[in-house]
Parts: sequence; structure tokens; C-alpha cells
Amino acid sequence: MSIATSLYRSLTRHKLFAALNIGGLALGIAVFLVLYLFVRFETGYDRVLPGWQRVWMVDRSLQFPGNPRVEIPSLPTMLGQMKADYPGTTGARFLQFDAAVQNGTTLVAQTMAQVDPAYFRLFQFPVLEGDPATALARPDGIVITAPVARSYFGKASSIGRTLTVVIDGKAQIYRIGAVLRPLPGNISYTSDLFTALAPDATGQRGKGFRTFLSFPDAIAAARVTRDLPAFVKRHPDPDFPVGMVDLAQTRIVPLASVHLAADNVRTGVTVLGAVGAVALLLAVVNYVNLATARAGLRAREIAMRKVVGATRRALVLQLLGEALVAVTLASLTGLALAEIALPFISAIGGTDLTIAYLGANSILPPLALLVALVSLLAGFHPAFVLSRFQPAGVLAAARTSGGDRAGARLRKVLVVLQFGIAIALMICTAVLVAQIRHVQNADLGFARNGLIMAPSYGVAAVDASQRRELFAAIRTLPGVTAVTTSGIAPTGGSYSISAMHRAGATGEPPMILQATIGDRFFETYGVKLLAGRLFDPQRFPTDETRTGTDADKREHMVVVNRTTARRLGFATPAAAVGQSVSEGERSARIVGVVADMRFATPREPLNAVSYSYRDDGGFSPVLVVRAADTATVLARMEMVWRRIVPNVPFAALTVDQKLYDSFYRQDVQRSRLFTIGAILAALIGCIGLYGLAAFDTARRVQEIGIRKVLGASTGDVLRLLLGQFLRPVALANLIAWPIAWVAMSRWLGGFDDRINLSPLYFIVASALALAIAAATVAGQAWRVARAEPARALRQL
Amino acid sequence: MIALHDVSRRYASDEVETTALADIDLTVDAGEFVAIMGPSGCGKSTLLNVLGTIDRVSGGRYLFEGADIAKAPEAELAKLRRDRLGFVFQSFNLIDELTIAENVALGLAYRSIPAKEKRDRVAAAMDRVAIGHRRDHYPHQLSGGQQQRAAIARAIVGEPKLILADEPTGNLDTENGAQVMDILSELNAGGATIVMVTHSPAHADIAKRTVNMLDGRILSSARRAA
Repeated sequence: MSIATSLYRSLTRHKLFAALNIGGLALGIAVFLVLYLFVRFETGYDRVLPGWQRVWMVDRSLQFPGNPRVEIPSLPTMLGQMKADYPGTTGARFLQFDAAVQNGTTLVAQTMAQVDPAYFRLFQFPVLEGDPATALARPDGIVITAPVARSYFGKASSIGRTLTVVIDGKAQIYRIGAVLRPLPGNISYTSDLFTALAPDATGQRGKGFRTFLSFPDAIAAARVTRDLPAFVKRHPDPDFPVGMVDLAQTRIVPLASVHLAADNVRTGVTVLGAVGAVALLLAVVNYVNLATARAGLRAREIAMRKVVGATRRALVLQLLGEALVAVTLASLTGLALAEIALPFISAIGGTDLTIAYLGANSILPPLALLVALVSLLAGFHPAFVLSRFQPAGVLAAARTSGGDRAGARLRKVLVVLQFGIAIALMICTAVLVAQIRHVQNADLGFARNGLIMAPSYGVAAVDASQRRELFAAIRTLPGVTAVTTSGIAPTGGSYSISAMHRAGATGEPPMILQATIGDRFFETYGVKLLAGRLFDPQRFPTDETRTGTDADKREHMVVVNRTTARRLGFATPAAAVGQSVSEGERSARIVGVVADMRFATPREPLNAVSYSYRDDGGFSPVLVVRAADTATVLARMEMVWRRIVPNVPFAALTVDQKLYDSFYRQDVQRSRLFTIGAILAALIGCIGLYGLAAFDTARRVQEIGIRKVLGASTGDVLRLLLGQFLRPVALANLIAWPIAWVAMSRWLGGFDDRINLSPLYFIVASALALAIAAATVAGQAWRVARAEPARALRQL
Repeated sequence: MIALHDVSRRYASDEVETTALADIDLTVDAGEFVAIMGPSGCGKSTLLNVLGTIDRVSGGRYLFEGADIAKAPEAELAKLRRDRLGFVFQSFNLIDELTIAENVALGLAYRSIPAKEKRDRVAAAMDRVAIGHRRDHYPHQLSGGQQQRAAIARAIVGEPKLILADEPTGNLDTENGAQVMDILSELNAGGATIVMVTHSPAHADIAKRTVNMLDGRILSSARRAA
């Protein structure tokens, strides 16, 4: 009988086992495949273009004592200086911003990058038509991507045609010189439109500038890295005051390491990869468990094969062959499941994953490797156990005995392991979901609902008189209850950081974030005043902070938040009111103390902030509106906007949305993927437990018959069986709790605003696991517990 | 002690209905030792299973000490088996995973008896059938005769009023069979009621009454001359 026939009969005769075995394995493989694609996508960032190994990026950051490290842009002059200092160095600069393309009467927002022509030698994008490098040799040349070309010009060639692009309110006409093919989603630095960067790039300071360098190998890069401290001293940043030079750090990092540089991003990818591997492991454990559990049933077949002359080697090969066929079947089913699930996974996980069958990214070679590995892993133990049977003993005895005991112990250990992992995943899911819900609903110190922010209010193309007109018009819109402007805004904005001294205080002065705010800022945000007063320039004209040569000499008024008051050493908010402090060369008087507002990510500690009042809200201010019905007011704001500044695209959204996009979205999406993975892993564990329960109850029909003959009631038998099945699940908590505790403590440690790791999560997850396991085995146990004992005993 | 009136037992499968027992009227008094004989498939074991409440009747009345238990709930039957009945099977039905002592202790597993008393009663039951020296062995390590003695120990450890034995010597050689019959006679002499299915006329002779069956019906019931 060939392997295929043997397997076919074994599958069709034991349909339940076949379904559990192959179904469970297919599910595990599907979870693994989806998460493998995700990890490959994330770790493949910037490795999709040829020559990525030779590209490095200048990475600059600044860290004030007691504050998180912040990324700062590269300097436009840096590339030229590097080329001069390190002969042979090549590279390109990249400056991205939002622009708008004039399409008839409407403006369409697009991302635009100004780059050096050499950029396209470093980043070898696939080209549909034209030559990007020569296209940018002309000052009015532009390179666009295929989707952009299609949206404006349809299917016809767009080379030589023109696009009107509005940058900072000014329209410019560009001629298309090249079209790039659609780009994969995992490229960090790309854009819809590319134009040439002026060689001196004056006026570009402070914007999101990037400098990329090309080195033939890591040794050449290391040579430059060693000299960087000296380089920075030779070419100091003219923006940095002397004291700040030491706070800045300049490094060059390989391009491929940029995407996963942040700890939380890297952890997220690692964890999801681990969930995929764990789901697969659980499925393999199921296969091993069910296969060895059934070993006893196949003992006679194996013994007969030995009697007619099969060697142990031949039997091992046969059983491994069976595993290979089963795993192949499961893998194809898993692949189909993954295909079906991918659109759904992509939608809720915010990813763009596809399965490729051909080409360099084909799934087939890794899948073949997976099949081979899983077959070996899953088939080895059953093959070893089964082929060891001694034929005489097996054929003489009515049933196999003795040897099965060790197998049963192994199965119990594996069930403990499976449920340990499943419970740990359930606890992690509960904590993850609770924390993510917490940060989305936590008190940020201001009423986050009903707030609209319009960052486009502060762009350079909108002048001061237009801003005044916009402000006045929007304030009187129906449905608007309050309006303010400020440089600082939820998720960022413009602000500066400097040390704040309190007269007579000793020790290092705290670094305070200095924000300028316009009229009714605190009132619009709904911030609680803790002591003193808020700004009121009508009653207190000196509240207004003036800029200019002489204005700074005068003491100016500030409102500080509670963290600032505490850092300055005031015992209570009230104690800070009326006190004088100095900020650099200016002196300031604290007129009020307000509650802390969390504008930054929940991962970072609350900032110490000092607010100054300026009538115009300060540098590149953001307009913030409070309204009950945000959707209607947003539409009305856009109408006003188009009337007053028709040449600048209107960009506004609710603060809730902005916070979600910047701080929560990635966590929410990753936690969804994690939750699905965890639920499926638990399901795989249950499939295994169900299979074992089915097997075990079938094997124990006689024993249960005897127990009933001896007077055991249905309840007694049910309790016995459930107790025995659930004991490993209960024991699994011993593994699950410490793992989950360590993992979640570390993860929560990454948040400043976090929930407590309550024992409730552990208890509820464990109780849930027990309940699910009980429900899984109850049917089997109930059936056998209720059977009439005479029937059970007759089966012998 | 027990009385069956017009008892029948039918098994229905998808295609056929088999009548295993029909029109059974049988009374067994306390202290009796009844042997049931008949060819294979005549319904002996079914009758024994019905008497032992491990199989249900399809019709008729089953009086146990005056109470009709033909339609009694499962829990009540379990309690009856636990407190009043003892079973001995041809194929012993010891549990492979348990030691001999643990198998015997199963006879008390569903009663609330202090642990020490349980241990004492298990030891006494094993001594009574001379199997005490094998207490920590597993069933597959024992001979057939020893296994059956262990099974008898399990049946009597609860001191049942009625012992039901289904071909208790069927799997044993002559010598071991004789030992088992001696034990059963002693138990009967000690006051236990015994109903035994057997193929052996010699063993049936040891009983006080022999019931002959054929095709699910009782043909005759003959008391042994004293």
C-alpha cells in the first residue's frame, strides 16, 4: 500500500482527526504566512530599490536634559561640506513638503519633494518613461509618479506636458520630464512630485531637510563616522547657541535601519512576528499530539508491516512522507485562507500586503521551506514513536499498554505549553486593548472632543491680513463657540526650549518648553486654571509679549503649567503666582498656573510649558476652533477659507482625528493584528484540546463504563473528565502569568500615561481560557459520561 | 430481593430490531446463588446487565427490594449500583492505568468514607481473595487468575447485597476457575446473593438454582436438590 493510499484511507476513515489535524495546521500556517508577509514588508523597508546597501542618511537629533530626544533636520550646506572634507563622497538632498496641483479650478493636495538630480542615482526608482536625472537638470523640470500621471493625463504619455503646482501660495508651471512606475508602499523617502532643489537651497533652513550619502561599503561609512565629531566642530550649526552644541548629536545611519529605528516600531514588528511563529508552533504541537495519540490505534498496522518485512527506516520514511503530504495539504489550505483574509487584514491593520507567486518576492520558495521544516518538526516524533513498536507484543495484546503512558505525559506537557502561550497571549491582548483604549480616552488636560485645528492657517502663503480676516470670519460662523491661535498645537507645532531660572534656586535649571498663544487659548481648549489668572490683554496690556530689539528687555507675563511650577520648586501652584523667573536673557513674571495639557504622545512624559501671549498667536500659528458639530463647522470653515485665500489648500481636521493619526493609529492597527493572532492561536490550542479530548474519551470508554458499573453517576464522570482535561489548562497559568507580566510591564513602561497592570487582566484571561477549554471538552465528556455502561463494556 | 415481571429488551439499529430479552419473569430471593446458562447469544449477559441496571429494559417491571426501578432516573441507579451491587466480568475490566490497589479502591471511589477506612477495607478485600501481595502491580503484570481475583476484590470491597458475575471463570484455566468459584461460594455462605452467568455445568452445579435460557426467554428454572 503506497503512502498516498495509506494516508488517504487514514484521512477518510478518521474524518474528525483529519479535519482537526489539517484544519488546525492550515490555520496556524495561515496566521504565520500573514504575519510573515507583514514582517517581511516592515523589515524590507527601503530595501526594495537596487543599491540600497550603499545609501546612508545623516541623522541629527537634539536632547535637552529631562526631555525626550527629538529629531532635527539636516542642514542644506552639509552635503557640500562633506564633499569638500571627504573627497569622493557623493550624495543628494531631499526636502519634502505639501504642495497643490491646479486641476481646472480645484487644488489637489500632493506631496512634493525638492531633490538634487543625484537623488535618482542613489534611489534607483523604476522608470516608466523619460530620465529623472536629466528631467531635473532644467529648473522647471518635474518628475511624477505613474498614479499622479494617470490622474491628470489618463493613459496618454505625459512627457513634455505641463503641471501647475502651487507652492506656498505661488503657482509655478513645470514640464514633465520623467514618470516613475508605481512604487511599493515600503519606501521611507519618496513623494508624488519631484522638482530640482536650488544648489544653494537658501531659505530652506529649518524645514524637513534630509541629506543622503553614498558609500561603497560600511568601512568607508565608518571612516566618516569616526571623523563626524570633528566635522561638526569645523562646521557649527549657525542656529545653535554655544550652550546647545553639546546637546545635539549627528550620526550617519544605513538607510535600511531608518524605518525600524524607533523602539516601539521595532518591538511592534518583533512581537507580531513572534505571534506568527507561536501560532505555527501551536499548530505543530497539535499535529504531534494528535499523531502520537493515534499511534496506539495504528499499532497493529505498523506491527503487520514489520512482520511482512518493513525495516524501521522504511517505516520512518513512510510516516514522514505522510506528514509531508498532510503538511502540504495544510499549507495549500493555509495559503488559500491567507489570500482570503489579506484584504480584511490590510484594511484593519493599515497594511498593504499582497501574496506574490512569481518574481523575487514569490511566496513559493519560503512556503516550500516551511512545508519541509514543519513536516520534519511535526512528523519526526510520531514516526519515531510508531516505528519503535515491537510487533510480537502489539499483535499478542488486545491493546497496546504501558508505552502509551509516556506519550500521554508528553501530550499533557504539550497541552500545558500550548495553553500557557494561549493564556499569555490573551492577557497581553486584554492589557494592550485596555491601554490603547485608555490613551484614546484619557484626560489630556483639555476637552479633546469638539475641537478643530487648521494647520494651513499658519503656512507662509497666508499673510497677516488674511489671517486676521480668516479669524474674524470663522469666529462669527454659526456653530463656533470659541476660536484661538497658537504656535503650539496638539501633536506639535512651533515652540522653543530653554532653561528657566528661579531667583535664588540652586542646581540645574529645568528646561522649559516655551509656547506662544493667542487670544482665549485656555478658554477654547477648556483648560483648568489652578492659581492666579489667565491672560487678559484688555485689562492687562502688559500681557502682550512684543518682539523686537527693545521689547525683550521688559519683563513679560507668562502662564505656566503645573509641571513647570513643580520643576521650578514651588510647593503649590499658588506659590508660583507673582514670582519672577528668567528665561535666557529675558525676565518673566508668572501670572497664572494651569493644569498640564498633553499635546505630545502618551509615550512621553508631560512637558513643562511656559505660555506667552501674542495677539497673532506667534510663529506659523495653528487656528483652533471649538464647535459642537465639527463636521458642519469644518465645511463652513472651508467655504470661508476659499473665499479669503483661494490659492492655498485648506487643511483642517478635528483634534481627535489628528491625535489618532499621529499617536494612536499605529498602536490601534498593530493591536488589532495582535488580537486576531492571539484569538487564532487560542483557537488552534482549542482545536488541539478538542482532538485530544475526543481521542481520550474514545480510549477511556471502557474505564468510564467500569466506573459507572461501580456506581459513578453521570455527574461524577463529568467532573472526573473535565477535571483531568482542565488540569493542564490550569497548570498553564504558571507559564502564562510570568511571561505576560514581564512582557506587559515592559510594554507599558514605554508609556508615560499608562494603566496599572491589574491582576484582574490575569484572572479574567485565565478564567476565560478555562471556560473556553471546558466548553471545548464538555461535549465529549458529556457524551461519554451519559453512555449506558453495558454498551461501553460491550465495545471491548 | 429482586423480581422481573414480563421484562423485554430490544435493540434497534438502522435496519433491524433485535429482541435480546422477551417475557422474562424471574424472582431471586436474598441469599440465593443463581446460575444462568444457555448457548451464546441467548440473552444471558443482557439479563445480567439488566439486573445490574447497567442496561435499561424496553418493557416490563423490575422490582428491587419491592421498588420498581425500571424507569428510575440515572442518578438513582448509580446510587443503587454504588451501595448494593457488585460486578465481576469475564474479561476482568481492570483499568490498565491503575495499580491493583487503586483498581480495588475504585469500588469505594464514589462513597464518602474516611480515607483510612477506605485503605483498611481495600486491604481486607485484597486479603480475602489472596491478592494483597500484588497491590502495587499493574493489571498487565498479573496472570488471568490474579486479575480476576482482583476484580472480585473490587466487587466485594463495598460489601454489596447482590453480586452479579458474568462468566467469571470464562477466561481462566481449571485451577484458577475453581479458586474463583470457591471465593464466590464463600461469599454466598457469608450472606451475599449471587447471580452468575456461566457456560460450565460444573460451576452451575455449585449454585443453588440454575436458570436455562434460549433465544431471549427463560426455558426452565431448577433448584438443586439439597
